[in-house]
Amino acid sequence: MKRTVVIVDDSKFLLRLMQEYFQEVMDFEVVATGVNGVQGVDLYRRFQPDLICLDLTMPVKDGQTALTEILGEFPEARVLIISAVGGPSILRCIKLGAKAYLEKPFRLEDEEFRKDFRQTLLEIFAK
Amino acid sequence: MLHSSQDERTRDSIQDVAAEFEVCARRAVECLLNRPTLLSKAFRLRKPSAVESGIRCFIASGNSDQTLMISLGLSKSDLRSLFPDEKDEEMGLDAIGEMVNIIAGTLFRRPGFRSRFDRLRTSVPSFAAPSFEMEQARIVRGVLKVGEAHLILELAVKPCNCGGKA
Repeated sequence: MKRTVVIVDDSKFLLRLMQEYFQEVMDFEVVATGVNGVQGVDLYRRFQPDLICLDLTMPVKDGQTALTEILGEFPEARVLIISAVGGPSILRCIKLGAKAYLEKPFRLEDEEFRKDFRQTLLEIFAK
Repeated sequence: MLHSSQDERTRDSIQDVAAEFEVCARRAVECLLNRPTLLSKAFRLRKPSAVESGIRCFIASGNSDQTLMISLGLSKSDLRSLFPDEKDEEMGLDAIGEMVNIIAGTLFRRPGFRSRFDRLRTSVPSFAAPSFEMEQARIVRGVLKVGEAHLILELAVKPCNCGGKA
């Protein structure tokens, strides 16, 4: 049975790229996508996926707030933070309980990136 | 009016990060489009002038000392050439917004940039013109070519006490 993932990012273009990547390269089932933190929390409640990818900078509700709400309700949730913003924002999310983070931009066609991405996923599911 | 020393500091700082801006811009564009970029016009300090591009995406930022704006401009036909198979123009615009978002995020986290501009608050990308007084700003501009499309990239900075806001 495939692992399930919800992807949340305010860029529909990036959502489409990541959806294809998770499905075709990482062999996940993308059960839903959302474009802001409100949708992220709702989709997590609804699908309770094996993994949720959350962008940090989003309108309506940002990724850090969504992360706090998801982990408040589902402490075992596996959250992967995806963001172009590095530094303290990422550290705060890791302290809050995110399992890992990936910095944008993603070199989705690059073999080294794929290797790193796979390793990150392995570590998330080993925790 | 800007004090000349303040203006010189801004000019020196933005000049120093021109190369980093180019690196971040090329990386963001190449990763998102999975296509190589060519340098069509060098990234360097330029006089403020209107950018005639048809489509222009901005991201505004700032802290207590300065306001900053990153923008990417291109023509409608260039947008179509970047996404020839895309039926929905909105998807192409969304990709441009994400490019600007990634350029800003990656630039702001680089130590060389942060040593000159400190920590900046960021916003989400917008296609609506910001209230940013360009004539008072120092500007680095360069042009990247992707296939037949020309992308005009601009980084503008001005000290906060010269009026206006990003």
